[in-house]
Amino acid sequence: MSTSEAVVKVPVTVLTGFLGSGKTTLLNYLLTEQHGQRIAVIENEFGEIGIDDALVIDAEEEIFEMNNGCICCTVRGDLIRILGNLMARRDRFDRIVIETTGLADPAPVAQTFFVDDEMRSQLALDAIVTMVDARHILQHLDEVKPEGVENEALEQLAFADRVILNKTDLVTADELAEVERRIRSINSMAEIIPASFAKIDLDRILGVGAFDLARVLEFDPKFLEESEHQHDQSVTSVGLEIAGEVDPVKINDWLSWLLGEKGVDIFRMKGIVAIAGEDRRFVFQGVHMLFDGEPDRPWQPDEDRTNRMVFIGRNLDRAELTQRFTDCLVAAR
Amino acid sequence: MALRAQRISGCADRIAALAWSPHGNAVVAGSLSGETLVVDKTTSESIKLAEHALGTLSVDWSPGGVVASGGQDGVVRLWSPTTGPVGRVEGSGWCQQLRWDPSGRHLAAAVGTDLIVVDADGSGGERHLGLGSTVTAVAWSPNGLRVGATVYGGIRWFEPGVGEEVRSFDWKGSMLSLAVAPTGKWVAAGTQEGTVRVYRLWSADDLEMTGYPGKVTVLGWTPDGSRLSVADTEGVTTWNFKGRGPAGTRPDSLSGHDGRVTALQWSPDRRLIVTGCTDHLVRVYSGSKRAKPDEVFDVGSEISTLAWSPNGSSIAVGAADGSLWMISSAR
Repeated sequence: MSTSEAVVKVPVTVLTGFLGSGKTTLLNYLLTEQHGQRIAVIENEFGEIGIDDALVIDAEEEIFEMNNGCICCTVRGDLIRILGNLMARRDRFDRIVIETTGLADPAPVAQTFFVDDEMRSQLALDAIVTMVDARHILQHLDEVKPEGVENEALEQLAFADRVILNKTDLVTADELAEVERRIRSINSMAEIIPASFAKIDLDRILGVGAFDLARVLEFDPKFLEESEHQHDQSVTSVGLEIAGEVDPVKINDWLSWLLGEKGVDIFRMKGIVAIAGEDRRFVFQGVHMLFDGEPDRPWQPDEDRTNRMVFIGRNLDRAELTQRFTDCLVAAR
Repeated sequence: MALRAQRISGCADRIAALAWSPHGNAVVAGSLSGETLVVDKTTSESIKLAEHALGTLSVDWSPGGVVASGGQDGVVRLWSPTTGPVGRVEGSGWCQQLRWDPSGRHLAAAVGTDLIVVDADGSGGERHLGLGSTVTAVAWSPNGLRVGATVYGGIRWFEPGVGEEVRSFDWKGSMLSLAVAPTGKWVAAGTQEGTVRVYRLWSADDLEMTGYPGKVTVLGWTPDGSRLSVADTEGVTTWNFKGRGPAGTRPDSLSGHDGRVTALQWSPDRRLIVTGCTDHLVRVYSGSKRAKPDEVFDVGSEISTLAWSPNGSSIAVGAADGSLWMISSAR
């Protein structure tokens, strides 16, 4: 009997950003640069790319609600179909880049990778890369939307693992500093990459492994503690660093509370938890109410058993998150 | 029954779909390379039909002898072995699936968000019925009066003579696959959520089988419509629809697969079920509750599709590497 070959997951990069931010320039650069990788591109804004011999597929955003008991769970049906079809010819490319429309909500795209079994087993979401125009981003962020309508620019920044701050040549140093400060206040987890003419080192956006549980915490938690404390509707990041070990039963209850009560408000979360009696780190990440977690490498003998996590979303109450988590700690031995 | 597997033809990329000629002497295979091949079962000689740019996704062969193919180019082509190309219909989006009705008078094709119904009676009529969401599968009632199409939001039913939507089985979620029992009593649809929803075709009473580990894209009835087999990532479960139906019962299961089951079909005499799996193996089981298969064939690549010949003497198998295999009696 033959056995199935080990599945090497194909990395997928999601590229978001408003029209005019420079996405197309970056995509063209990705497709023409001599980087030695074959990239399949799924594009949502029609007719922008005309590269010969490249695997470029048009998609039409089709959002499905799932009946899986998760109230905010939506996925992209078009991506499931197209990616399923692409995976049938996976020997033709090394990685996939999905370009979303300027107005796309990144949540259904990210959730698709958690929900669909075939995609989970064959594809690895590498990173969400958000491209912004340094000159116009503040205007987009400050745009007042009607009740119930999301500010897409804000959401795209909140979901990002990498933010390409493009057209930096068109703003002053002071303006640039202000833009960076605003982006940091929304998403302190993402790395900001300044650029002009969409020229960047591709290694900084491809092969990031931001959704890779083994690399889940590549941020500086100290930095996160500086983020502003806010109770309103604005999107912020909250980073926690809490020493000690947690009770396995209590942390499970905490997780149920977090996903059930806060899942709608949390866009992204990542963390490492020290569970009492477990010699390995427990790493997790989530998108809204969808959660992925598993034991990771063992804690090193000289390593402090410290819980570190970051949440990006709305209505995040640092005091409440801290208190609820601290309640899970076991008494120091 | 002693069976033997033989590679009879090949395409440059994955065989996405295949279908037998009405008399069982040839198969048509569509490949993601865009090729559509008609291959003689005994001589292995092949005829290459017009290509579908970007890939052929679906094929079917009518009882009257007309081959239909559809692809990622959104085009549906009709071809006859005697006269060559006999029709071409253009839609917008991928043609995910197409099916002839049992009489061969009408062809239903899922193209993008449209269900296209083509009259093959020489009138050349075609109707494009917009369903608002991508059509994932189509299936006819055995009497050919009704055709169903699955979309996000349920199953939509049309009658070729009427054209308008005659009935809708609404369900909040994405349906991916559709199979009408050959008796016409039941219709089963697989969903993105890992469930199978079964309806009484003419009354819409429904029931649901849940707990599948992933989306349900492959399902098939026994020729007598008494049992429904469902493929998943680990094997095949079969539900018994005799008497009061499967409510409250446990399904039979087939063991021995080492991967996702990508294709299944019951033999015309309903004694055997054949499965294709990502572990490169075709398995033939003599019943729905077996710990191991009776026959196993390694085709060296993931199986993408398979089909019994009309008289049940052969199985055509399409693989991910583009090869087309024939499993037949070893005589």
